[in-house]
Amino acid sequence: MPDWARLLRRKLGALRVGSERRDEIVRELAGFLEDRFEERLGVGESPRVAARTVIASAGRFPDLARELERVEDSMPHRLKSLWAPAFAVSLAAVVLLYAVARTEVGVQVFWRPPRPPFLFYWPWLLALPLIGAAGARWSRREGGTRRDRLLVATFPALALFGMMLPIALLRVAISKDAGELNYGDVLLVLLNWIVLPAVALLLGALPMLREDRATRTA
Amino acid sequence: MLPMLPPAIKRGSAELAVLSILAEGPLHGYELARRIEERTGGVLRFTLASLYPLLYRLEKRGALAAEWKAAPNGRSRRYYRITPRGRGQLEPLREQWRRYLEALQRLPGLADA
Repeated sequence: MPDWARLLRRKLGALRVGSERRDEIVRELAGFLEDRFEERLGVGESPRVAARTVIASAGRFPDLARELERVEDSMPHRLKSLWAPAFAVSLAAVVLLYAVARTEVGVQVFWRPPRPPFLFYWPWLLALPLIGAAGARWSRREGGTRRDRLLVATFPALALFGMMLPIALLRVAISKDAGELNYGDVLLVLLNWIVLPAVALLLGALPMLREDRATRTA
Repeated sequence: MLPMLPPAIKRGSAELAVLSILAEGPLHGYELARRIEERTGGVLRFTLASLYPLLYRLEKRGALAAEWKAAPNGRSRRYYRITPRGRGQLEPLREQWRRYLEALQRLPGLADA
């Protein structure tokens, strides 16, 4: 008997619905094709002819995929696979940072004035890989592409950069010492607040950047 | 050769057919398609591509509910049943189609058909 589930994954392509739902749809549709195949065998067709009849009478697979996506997508796909997990991940990172900063547990400060301080919020940094992994996993489950998962996982660092940059530029613009801007200090701040968290988030997300089973076989 | 209906009429009647047949009892997709084809003398025929988007749409609307169960052949199939909400939608739908068909019957050339 043909492997109907495999055929459907191939024919439907990367169906943009959640991976669990996609598996369920494929399983159900495969059952339909299987029953129709057996019906054709029952009327005396050879397995080869029966399989061909079943595929030919199934309808247009690209139309089916498009219709399924339309029906399943009560929330826009980008919102489910990118923006919702990205904001959730950012919120988790900010809340955790706030909690660690408030309790001052596991905080290490390296400060040699007049340089800006280099702060290690260890509990926060150690939790970031988990947060990055959770975000990337969420995006993958919702059918997010590899790029979506990468963006979701690193979104807290990117958002922080997006917020810090205009503030920093504004401060430089209005500062009397603008001409004496120390690029070393800027790099230190970037390393502390953007690069280090981004690396931690990314480390957690790495295993989630692989294609999942359903997408791989599609 | 069976007469083929235009796609627009088929689309409108598909929902009525699905709800009407499921009002008699739960069925899985293949069995439902077969039953509709049988009952309409082959005029309404569902393909995989036409049946499942409709079933999922009706399920999302709350007119149908589905659950995995073992079919008589022992294989697991997703059975659909009409919900109270679906039954509530079925009667007005039947009435609309009744009036529509009656109106068509009054047209010249169809009155005696």
